[in-house]
Amino acid sequence: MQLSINDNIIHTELEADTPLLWLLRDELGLNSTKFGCGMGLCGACTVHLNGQPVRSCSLTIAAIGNNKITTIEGENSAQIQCLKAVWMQQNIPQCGYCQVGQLMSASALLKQNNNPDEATINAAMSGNICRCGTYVRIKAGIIAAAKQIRVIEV
Amino acid sequence: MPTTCSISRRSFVKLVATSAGLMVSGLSISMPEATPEQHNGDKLDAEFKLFTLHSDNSITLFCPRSEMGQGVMTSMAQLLLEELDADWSQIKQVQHAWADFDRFGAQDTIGAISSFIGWESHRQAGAAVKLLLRQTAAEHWQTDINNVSTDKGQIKNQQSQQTLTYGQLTTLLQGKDLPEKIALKSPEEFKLIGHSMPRLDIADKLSGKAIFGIDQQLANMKIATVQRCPVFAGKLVSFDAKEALKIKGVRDIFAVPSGVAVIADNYWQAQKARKLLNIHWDEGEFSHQSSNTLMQKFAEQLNSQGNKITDIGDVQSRFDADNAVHVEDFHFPLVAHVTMEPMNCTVWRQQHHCEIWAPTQNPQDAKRSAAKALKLEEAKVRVNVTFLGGGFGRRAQDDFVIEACEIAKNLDYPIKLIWSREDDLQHDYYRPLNRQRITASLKDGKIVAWQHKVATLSTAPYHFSLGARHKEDGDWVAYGGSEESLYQIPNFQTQTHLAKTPLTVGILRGISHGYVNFASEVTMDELAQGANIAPIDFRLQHINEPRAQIVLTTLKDKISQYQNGTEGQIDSHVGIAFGHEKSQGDYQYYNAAAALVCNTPQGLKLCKVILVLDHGQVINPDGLKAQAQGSLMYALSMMLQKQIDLDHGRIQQSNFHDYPVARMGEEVDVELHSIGNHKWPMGTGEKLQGTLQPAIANALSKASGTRIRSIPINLATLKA
Ligand code: FES
Ligand code: FES
Repeated sequence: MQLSINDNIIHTELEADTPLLWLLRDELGLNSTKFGCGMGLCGACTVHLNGQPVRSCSLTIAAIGNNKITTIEGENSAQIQCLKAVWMQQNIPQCGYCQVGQLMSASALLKQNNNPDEATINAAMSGNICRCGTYVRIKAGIIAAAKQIRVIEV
Repeated sequence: MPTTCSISRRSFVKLVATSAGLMVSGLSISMPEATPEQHNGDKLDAEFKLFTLHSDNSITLFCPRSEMGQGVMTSMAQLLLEELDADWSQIKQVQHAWADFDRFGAQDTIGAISSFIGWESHRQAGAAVKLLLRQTAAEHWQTDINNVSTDKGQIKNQQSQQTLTYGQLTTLLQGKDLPEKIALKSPEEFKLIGHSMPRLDIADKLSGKAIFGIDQQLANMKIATVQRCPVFAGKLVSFDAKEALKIKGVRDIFAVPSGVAVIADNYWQAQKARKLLNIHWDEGEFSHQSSNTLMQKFAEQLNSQGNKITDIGDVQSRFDADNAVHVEDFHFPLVAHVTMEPMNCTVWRQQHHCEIWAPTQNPQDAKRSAAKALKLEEAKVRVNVTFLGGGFGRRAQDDFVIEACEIAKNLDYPIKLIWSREDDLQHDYYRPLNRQRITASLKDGKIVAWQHKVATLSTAPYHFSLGARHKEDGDWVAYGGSEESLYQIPNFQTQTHLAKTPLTVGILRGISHGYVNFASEVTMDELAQGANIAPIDFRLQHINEPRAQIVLTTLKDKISQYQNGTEGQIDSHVGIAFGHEKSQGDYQYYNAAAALVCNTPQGLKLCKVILVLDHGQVINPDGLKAQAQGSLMYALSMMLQKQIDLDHGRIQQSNFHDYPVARMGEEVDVELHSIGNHKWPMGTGEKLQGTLQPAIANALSKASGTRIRSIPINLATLKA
């Protein structure tokens, strides 16, 4: 099977029903995408499929077809860069385990909407669990990053 | 939890070549501008127990405690660099430690102990090297040591105005003896302690460079999963692996003490094969037990006399003389930790030694248990600590390390054991199920007698510390907090009933304080109401500890604006609670919380929490705030979501759909007030559940008229 991951063509012999997450982690060594539940419930495994956030634990490699997969290793948008800078400045992560998933959901959100209101942030981010409870900071971080994006885009 | 730690600081300076391979790299942050060598540098670095001073004046720190999000890498760096008089930009990297008592002292990362111990060990370590550097520079310049000063990683000869970097002196340190018992800075001199320094681990956590246990990779490594008996203490009778072995990528399937292990090229294959195992279990006696039957037994036990842990005065005669207030029983369900990163452990068993990578809060006990499982001398086992994707006490246990060793000892290639979320929820070391009864009597607005009875699952058989396991001490984490009170009560008694069952229980963020202080603080509100005294005043009337009085009067001041029932235009109700620990010596903290519950069109809602802390010297204010924010979300998950149920000897919940946790949109912020003193510091992440939770419960009681005596709470059924 051939897949496009981070703009590289990947060949894999794995079974078609293998979730993308395990191709990324156990075969390609792309460890930033995390495992948290395996059921699409926690968002730790969030990657982009043609720019849309998807849960890689619940997406089989067979279902990907010609769509482009981007993990945080290949995500270099202005959105993710602003988010990462804010995440640093505001000391957002605690254990950090959920944070790559949070960033991938947040960057997909900011690409769609550079000025999200609170309800929009809740809707876009409620699929990403953070057991360390960093939500107050994540929300403030998204708002701050959106502001920077708007400045860049002007 | 009180603990002592003796670290021998006497050590010789050891020089290591710069090129020597650094061990597991925790992270690397960008290099400071290198200072050009001024001597004919032979590039020797000076390695100390807690850090290496490189000849280019950069510093590699070793973090002896486990970084699980609480910011310990950063706070320990602040303590050490403060006394070393080093500049923050000198930090080149922070490495995780490996289990090594001789080098690092005690390493268990539990009970808010890191700041408590580090306050002495890390500051002394920095101060000793700073003094040695000054002595060495004084010899070099042939001047008196009093002419030699330090600042930001530089040494200056005040007479000649010459300067050297610390790094330029590394070679001259060779073979020198580290001074002991150094005078430390006074708080007015602090440049790093008490300042919000940027977290040292964040850059790598955003770039993906941070290695959590589950990210460990080794050549030829395979993935292992284990199918365990769903009933606690059930036994494996037989299994048939025929179908499972047909799954592509499956390497091996065999029995281990905890169940049946499946080894495959990747996790998905191992999981798939595991579901095809045809296993016959002997579920045993415990398969008839449930949370309900256990709770029923606790209810009966509370009617009889328990083991008297504390007995001051004569509670019974006071109850007979004065009208005792019997409050209804409190009951608390099992609670699971649910760290974001499921349990995992990587083990490479070689012929004569073994190397382990574990996200553990307790590396030294993990090493002991691993050596035993592997039948190796401890000296032949190395336990490397990785980043931890959350801990909350779960990772102080050694079970997942032992399980990985039991698998690896049958194999000649390295394995990474990964638990599924289902494994994690169904084989946790839960916060114990418990039921409590408090009886008290009041006279003239004062509590004259207090009896606290706690019926709980026994934690001793499973205690995270091998030193306390199966010992009487091992039960303190199941009732601790109930056996003493800061409230001045002349007649005071605590009784316990401890049930030993095969259900694995242990420490969870705040141990028993989370539920015994909950019961005590809800009872305090009830008594205050009976005495017709405001809850804060009622508590203040029973307290003579000045640190606690300041905390409570500060809270009283902060909530005065909300007391008349409005927060903005919304009706609000304020509930408060107080928490503390005061052991012998400096292990003490005092905190108090106020919760504001508002009436909204959607029903009752927690809209704000005000928290006042005296946990001694604050090391990193922003880190403290983060811990308070996270603790509140943890409390809300536990209080407002679902519980863990045991039925037929097995846990009924399996993943986030039936054991949900707080999500974005449910967040509530904390207004934090820290009492600025320089007392011995105490960590905070573990210490707030027993205060935040009863404050929220008391606010909900006020708003609804219904006393809250158990969790989880169904907000929808609480009427405003
Ligand atoms: S691991 Fe994919 S959503 Fe949880
Ligand atoms: S930072 Fe730990 S789970 Fe989010």
